Amino acid sequence: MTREIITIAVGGAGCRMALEFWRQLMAEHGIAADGRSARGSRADGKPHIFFQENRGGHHTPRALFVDLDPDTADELRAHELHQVLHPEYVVVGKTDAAGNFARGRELGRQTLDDRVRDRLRKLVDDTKNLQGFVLFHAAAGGTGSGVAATLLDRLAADYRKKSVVSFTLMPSLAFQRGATEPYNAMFTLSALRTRAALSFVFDNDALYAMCQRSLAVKDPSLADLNRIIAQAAADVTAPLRYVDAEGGADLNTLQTSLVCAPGRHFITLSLAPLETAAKLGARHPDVPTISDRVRAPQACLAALDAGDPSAEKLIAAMLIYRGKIAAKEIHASLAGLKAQGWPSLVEGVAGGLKALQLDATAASIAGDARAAAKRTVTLLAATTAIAGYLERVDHSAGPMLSGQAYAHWFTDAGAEAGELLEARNDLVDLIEAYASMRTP
Amino acid sequence: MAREIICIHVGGCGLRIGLAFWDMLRDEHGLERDGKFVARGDGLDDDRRAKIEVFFRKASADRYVPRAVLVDLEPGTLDELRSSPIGSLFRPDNFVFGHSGAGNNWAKGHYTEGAELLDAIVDVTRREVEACGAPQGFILFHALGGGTGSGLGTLVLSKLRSGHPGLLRASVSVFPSAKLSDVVVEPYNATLSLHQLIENADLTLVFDNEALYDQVRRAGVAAPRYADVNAFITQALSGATASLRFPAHANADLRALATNLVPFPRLHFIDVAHAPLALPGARSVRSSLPRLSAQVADGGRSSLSARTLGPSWAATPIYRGALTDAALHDLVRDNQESLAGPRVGWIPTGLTPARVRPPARGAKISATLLTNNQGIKGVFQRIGDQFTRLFRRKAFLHWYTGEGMDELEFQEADRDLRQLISEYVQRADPNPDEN
Repeated sequence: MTREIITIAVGGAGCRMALEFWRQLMAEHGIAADGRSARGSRADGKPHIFFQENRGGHHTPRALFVDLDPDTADELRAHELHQVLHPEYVVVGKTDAAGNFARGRELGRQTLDDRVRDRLRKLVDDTKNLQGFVLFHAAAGGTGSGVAATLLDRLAADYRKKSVVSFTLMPSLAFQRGATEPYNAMFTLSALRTRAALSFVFDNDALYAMCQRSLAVKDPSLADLNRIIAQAAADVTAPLRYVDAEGGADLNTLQTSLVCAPGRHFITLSLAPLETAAKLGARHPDVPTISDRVRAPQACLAALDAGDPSAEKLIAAMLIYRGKIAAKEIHASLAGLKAQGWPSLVEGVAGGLKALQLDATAASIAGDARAAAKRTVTLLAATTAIAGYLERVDHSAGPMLSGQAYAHWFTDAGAEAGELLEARNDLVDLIEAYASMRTP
Repeated sequence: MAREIICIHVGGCGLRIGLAFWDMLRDEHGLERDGKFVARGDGLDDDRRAKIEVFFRKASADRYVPRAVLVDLEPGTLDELRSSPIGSLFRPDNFVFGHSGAGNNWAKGHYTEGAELLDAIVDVTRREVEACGAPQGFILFHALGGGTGSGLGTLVLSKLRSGHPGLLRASVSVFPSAKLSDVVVEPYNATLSLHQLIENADLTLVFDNEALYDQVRRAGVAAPRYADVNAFITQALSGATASLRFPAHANADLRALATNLVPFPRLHFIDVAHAPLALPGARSVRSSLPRLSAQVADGGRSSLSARTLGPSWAATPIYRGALTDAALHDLVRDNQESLAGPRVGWIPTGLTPARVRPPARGAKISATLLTNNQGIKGVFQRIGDQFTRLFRRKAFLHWYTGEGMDELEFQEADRDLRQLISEYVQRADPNPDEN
């Protein structure tokens, strides 16, 4: 039985990430730009979870694109995937949120909410057995935070039993665009904490370093960074798209394996190998090698550089191997790592380390900095290092808030006077929840 | 869709800066003097045209007209503008003028002569707003020292606030200096104007003639005149608006820029530093990104006197020319501390750089640094002290009371300015003593 997933992209960054995600999925399932199967009569794997297929054999992404900025609609029209994106499912406003959560929320309610609700209803009506939603957004943007928060409320009200999994771009220090980003991120985290089942977090600082150091891209563009996010998101959803449900692969199982307590569902992603096509050549790294490399900080899409890495522990983790790999190879590699003391798990709560394998390899798209190897592994980790990662947000937001800097832009746009403080308290609680797990 | 900005030029100074500003803008966006777009085939045509409708209104297939309203209480400067080489660029209906002049008297501009012109200005402005798809705000160009730009300019600003409450109000405000002018009542006009700007503007780009005079002299002009100072202002404004006019990843519209630069609503007075300064006749300047960013950060290129500069709460450096994102990224990553002069430590995200591809005229690369600088209180202090010296003796006050103004209004404006100065002190730290 097909258990469909609807993908929602919110904000400029969210839409761009989602576009790359769809390119990736189309490449992996062998769907051409016009929506037809490129490799004969049937698409590979189980594309119907993410795509709707009509009688003529056309595949349409079960996707909604939402942005306050009207320019995004033009961008999507001009995109190479425009043939499979229905304009009805691109919902834009008249003017953007100017990097302000409260403005995004207010404008979203006024100008987007009705249409979003209506389009969602249509997308849901086209499914038989919806398992949940995947959200792409940036935590620091005005739309990615404010409109996404409204959307999460909407999903909770209208589709209470469906899980929401988010791919959340966290604020970057070097790519920062707005002084108010820490506040927006704070509000986003607060909304995700109560409304999302799983949130994968990553940031452009880590991705940029990955491109420059591991992938020899001297001048990485945002598109380069988004390609890596798309590869990781495709890996995360690969068990859903290729393995039968009996194999234990749906959004719920991901959730059960990775979330130890409600609200503590922030997950980092790491990839191995990170190789250019030229370097990969004919010698694709073996299973022990990729299993070893995926643990390294450089493999992680989140810049978890704060604090003392040796003090950090895993709460739960999952390894998704792609490619023709024998189960015993995986067992042997993991046994080898265990002998070296990895992973260091939080006692008592830990669900431990789970490994999944599927034959379908990852796909590369022309221009990708990171080439697809025959064998890849993706690490999904719930780790105590999230405490330090979130502290980075609080490190900015805390002092700014105590000096009341930038608060007027939020209250002018309809936020209550106490909301900023509340969101900050939520953040401090969340950090504490992770930090407290470092010591038993 | 463009997020349109409407420029309103009021008074002699606002118009003269406007003339140079629009001549530069039309050139930077590939427009001939009559507003016709001509592709240059240098690979930047798309950038020039992508956001051209922010400042220009499309009149026909390839002809553009400034979204500008031009106002004066006497016809002289407007005639000058009309007969200038770019006279035909503007929409003739958008010239609004009186015949009486304001005689350097704020009261005439704000209450009597100017008020008579207000309806006509409001009409023209509303027509411009209606011609926008998603209007974002206004920029008022004016000087604070005279009568028209200061008195009528701030009257227009308060009218815009009530008439278009959802739109942003920015101003380009030229502060008076005794070095360039001998109008004795300037401190009155400036103080009364500031009282209005504090309440009714969201963002004010400050050009202090006192500092600009020195800067232009340092650049080699022995006896700077208005034209020389205005050359700096125009180049700095071209840089300051670059991310609004050309594709940019950050600060891409007026609201984003104002949001980033203004942590406290009343403290919205922004210093503008720019390098290199291309004076007429000077050779095209060669420079490097690190050199330029150091030049704008050290205070010597600032629109405020370097002596008064202090740490800033927020800073937006805007770089123009052939730089890669990676070059900017690495510059920001490696120079957080030095990129924008000293900043307060408790707003770590107060630095929001932007980059655009099309270069400024006469410089392959250039840098413009906007800072919300605590030192600007020194300028307010200077004006406040000059005000006090005059007001203590009630000197020249009869010119104002003669137009119906009350002394109380002077006292109120003075009190507001003092209050503003003390807010600059209080906000210097995140946890000021409760007052």
